Amino acid sequence: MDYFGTPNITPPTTRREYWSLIHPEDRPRIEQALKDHFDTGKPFSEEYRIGDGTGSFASVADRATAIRNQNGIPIRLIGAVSDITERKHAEQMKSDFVSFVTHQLRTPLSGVKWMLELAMDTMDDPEELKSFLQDARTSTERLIRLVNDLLDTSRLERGKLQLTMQNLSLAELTKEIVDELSPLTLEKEQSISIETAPDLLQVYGDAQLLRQALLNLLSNAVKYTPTGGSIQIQMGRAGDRALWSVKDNGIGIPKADMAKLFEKFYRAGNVLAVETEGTGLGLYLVRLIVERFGGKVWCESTEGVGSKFLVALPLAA
Amino acid sequence: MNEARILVIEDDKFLRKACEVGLKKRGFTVFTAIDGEEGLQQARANIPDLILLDLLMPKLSGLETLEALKKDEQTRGIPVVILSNSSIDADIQKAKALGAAGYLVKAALSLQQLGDRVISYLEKAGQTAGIGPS
Repeated sequence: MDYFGTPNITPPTTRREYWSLIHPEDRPRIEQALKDHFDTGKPFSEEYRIGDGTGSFASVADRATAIRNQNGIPIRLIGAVSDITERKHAEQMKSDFVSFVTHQLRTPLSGVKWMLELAMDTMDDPEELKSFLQDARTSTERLIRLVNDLLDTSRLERGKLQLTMQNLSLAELTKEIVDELSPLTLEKEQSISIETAPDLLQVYGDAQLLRQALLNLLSNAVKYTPTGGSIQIQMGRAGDRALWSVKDNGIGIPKADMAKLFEKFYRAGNVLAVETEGTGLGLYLVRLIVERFGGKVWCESTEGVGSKFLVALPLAA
Repeated sequence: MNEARILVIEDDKFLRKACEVGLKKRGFTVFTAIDGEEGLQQARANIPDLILLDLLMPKLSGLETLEALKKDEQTRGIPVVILSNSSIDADIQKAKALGAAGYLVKAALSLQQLGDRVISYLEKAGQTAGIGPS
């Protein structure tokens, strides 16, 4: 018999034994609830943690009713205890997510609110007024990006995104995103080199989505590479696939984070040292998009040395 | 005029700017720092009358910064008010346990209200000499 997922433990046979396995922090609450049930008949339905005697705990839901004798004295307790550890874990993840998104939404919202407040007090100084309004606008743009990322994620996950599939030139898309990021790379004095295969590489996909995937990868490279760093983009053919990659000499990715890198909301342990605006959606979106086109994305990286992200996509027919 | 000196430790450039301008308008002298590391340096160099401290920041987080401020004899006495957009209970509890004088949620306040709260925290800390309408 499995006792809450630990097959090697002898299940407790007496109440006293069972009682001693309840997490010490939860025990007083359960004692009180049971007492209330005995004294007032208030239904007993509680969630608590129960140990397996080896130091690990499962979360359980316990519903019980006292059987009483003719004088109304409780003589037995009958009920059912069910393992809710997985549900508890999912609830925790959901609540972490809500907290995180709340924080990421509130930051630009506070920016807009405060900049507009300052603007209202600055009506007599057009130059300053303009700068506050400009800042408010930039904050709304960040807000829109975040909401769009969340929406795209949800649509891609449910397969609900309307796609316009067509033949796309990887070189042209790449040039567009490099141009788009050039203000940033200029500011950080980074050099970007592009190596294109001699033959025209065309892949089959949705222009907007593929552009977003490549943009996410390149902007990560820019973001996590220090001032003066260098970024190399390469395109080539590998069998029946186009291979696109971006390599940087940035902060790299800790070994422990590699396996989870493309998971939703996952952020590597060393990114907070660089910035705190990220949502953990960028690489997840890249994976959803690339897989949608029948491709594959992966990463090679050494912490402190740099990263290389590679995308393989089916060539256009 | 308020003559108190306030250090704002905030990584978001818009929020940092808004706090700086908003508090200067109220007459405070304002220093700013873009992360916990710079915040610690500023706190030691300027010994402000009050610190407004963000939590989620690069390099040194707000809680780590708070811990370091309270460990340092030079900066231990400066009241630190957390100014964050996180309303996670665990963060609030940790900040209080580490000795924060208060916890404010940015999105819940106007700059006007933030200035009011700063004044009342300063009063509470008993460092109000010279503060009040002139």
